[in-house]
Amino acid sequence: MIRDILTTFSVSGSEKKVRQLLIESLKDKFDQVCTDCLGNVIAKKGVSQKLLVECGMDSPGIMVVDNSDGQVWFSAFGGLKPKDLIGKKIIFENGFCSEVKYDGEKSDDAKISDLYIDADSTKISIGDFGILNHEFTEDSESYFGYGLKSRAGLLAVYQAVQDVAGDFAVLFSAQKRIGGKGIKAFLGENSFARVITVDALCEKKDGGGAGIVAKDSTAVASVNLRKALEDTAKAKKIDAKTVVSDENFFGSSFLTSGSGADWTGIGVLVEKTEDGKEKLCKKDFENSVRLLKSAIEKLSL
Amino acid sequence: MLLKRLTEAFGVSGCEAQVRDIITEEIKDCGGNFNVDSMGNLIAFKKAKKENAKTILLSAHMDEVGFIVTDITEDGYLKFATVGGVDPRILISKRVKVNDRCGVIGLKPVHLTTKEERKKTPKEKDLFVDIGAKCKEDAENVVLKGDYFGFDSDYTEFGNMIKAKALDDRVGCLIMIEMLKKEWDVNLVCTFTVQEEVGLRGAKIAAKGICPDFALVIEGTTCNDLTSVPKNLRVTKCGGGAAISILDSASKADKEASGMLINAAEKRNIPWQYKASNAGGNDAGAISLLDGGIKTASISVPCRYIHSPVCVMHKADFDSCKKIVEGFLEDCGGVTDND
Repeated sequence: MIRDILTTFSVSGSEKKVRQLLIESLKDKFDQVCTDCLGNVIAKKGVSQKLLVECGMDSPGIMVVDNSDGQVWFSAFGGLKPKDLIGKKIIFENGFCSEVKYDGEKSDDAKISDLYIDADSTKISIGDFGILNHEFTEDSESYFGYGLKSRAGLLAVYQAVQDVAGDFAVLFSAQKRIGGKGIKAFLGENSFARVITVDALCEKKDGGGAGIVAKDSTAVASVNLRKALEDTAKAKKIDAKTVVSDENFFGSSFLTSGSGADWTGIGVLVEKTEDGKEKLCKKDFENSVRLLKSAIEKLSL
Repeated sequence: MLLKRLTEAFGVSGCEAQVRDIITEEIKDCGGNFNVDSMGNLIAFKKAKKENAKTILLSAHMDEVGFIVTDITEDGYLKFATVGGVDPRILISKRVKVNDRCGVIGLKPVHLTTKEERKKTPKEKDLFVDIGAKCKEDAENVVLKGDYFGFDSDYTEFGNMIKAKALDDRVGCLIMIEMLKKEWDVNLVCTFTVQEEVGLRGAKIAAKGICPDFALVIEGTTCNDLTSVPKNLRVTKCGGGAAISILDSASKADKEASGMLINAAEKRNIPWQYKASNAGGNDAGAISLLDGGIKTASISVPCRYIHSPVCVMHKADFDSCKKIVEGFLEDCGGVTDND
């Protein structure tokens, strides 16, 4: 299942395959699993659901804008930069996979519009979406691959909520990488007293473990909820560190939802390796999963 | 001609009354109801004649980019800031209309500029509007600090093309007016929104609570099919048909809704094209997130030199956009699946 979660095609606005995977595997474990108009998956346990756990289920990607003369040209979204793409393999929804090319001399000077993929128009059409090929390798300590960052939060939440008891809801949000569209639409109709968002944390922490977010790029976390996570980690002897993050956990959207909510985040540490790959340390990941599981047990009842 | 009246009307974001008045006059006898909300959005409703019909929301914005007076100099010139996205490179020597008074955006004469100055684009703060005033007091008889003004540009047809200001989005307004003049087997709601150019503000209020089965945003969009521009940066092609959006910086088009637009075009042999860029955004970004999410798509008329006084569109693209919207409404005319 880890492989499925990490590698299934899911790009912002086209999350169908991951959505089906989640619905199928969670429907017998939750009291209710449903989707909404934006494509979010919402899973609920219990009756009142004062706690919401959120993670994104989409990856940033590329959109084909021209496919003439045997070459595919594209725009990128969700924060992908030329250096993230040059020489990397892109996989499309139809399974076609090919490498991103750049004919310039200095890759630092490259713009997205300079990059292309060799493919004829019978394989790829204008409007098709692609993502970095999420195939990964692993050793006893870590997973290595491209695009792990966008799936680390999803994987942690998926693992944590499997058998945990409590009265809570999980939002697997769609279109998170293009401005948190799924979150914003969902919060127009729903409100919760407490929210924990789970996403990758790419900043270097002082040591490993799970990250407890004191501040993200949009907001300061609720002190009480953050302290509750810190206390939980301490009580359960979970390796965790409090972090001030420049990443967007959409804290502001949650804090100002309904008549106001307590919010904090759990960051799953993903490091960049020297060859540009992403590294997800299994121990850090396990700590994040344990922290989330313990937090749900403590805060949702 | 209605498009001429619509594009020549003044409607900078926040001051859309002239445009709204023209539209109101046009739709008042269409057989529906309409109201204006506190922001100035004009919302028109036309109920289907049959029961259990789908509700379709069409939306186009009335406002255009323009300017606001930030100061009046002692010698009667206007200092200004732009309202909405205006490229400062296009401003020099343009005609503007300031409360019905002609004005021109000026800069010091070429004779007095250095070589270095001529290489740089003047900054907004270095530009001014000359309205022919003798002094500050004289200027204040025409305009006050905080007043809005816009480009002064007439509607002109040349070949198969139309040149006008504010084609973005008076073309959308015109198509919606024409849709309201017809009878449909859907409950038609049309929101003529305000303040799109300054952050999609009107749509957030106008479309709230309507909860349609589908929403269509009808727009004027970027067209960069200029000589020397590589194909992958052209976005749309003038004369290539209406542009259907996939993804832009404000929203991802709902697959079902955009698929229905494509289907409406294909089965009627109406030319269409994708908007092949994720740059820009429109009211779909606000509407798609309302009320828990609304299935929203965008269809646009490609406009060269958009957000300038000389927007240019192809007449055939306007026809294509209108016919696809008509086809979409016809195709939605079946009985709704909802209880």
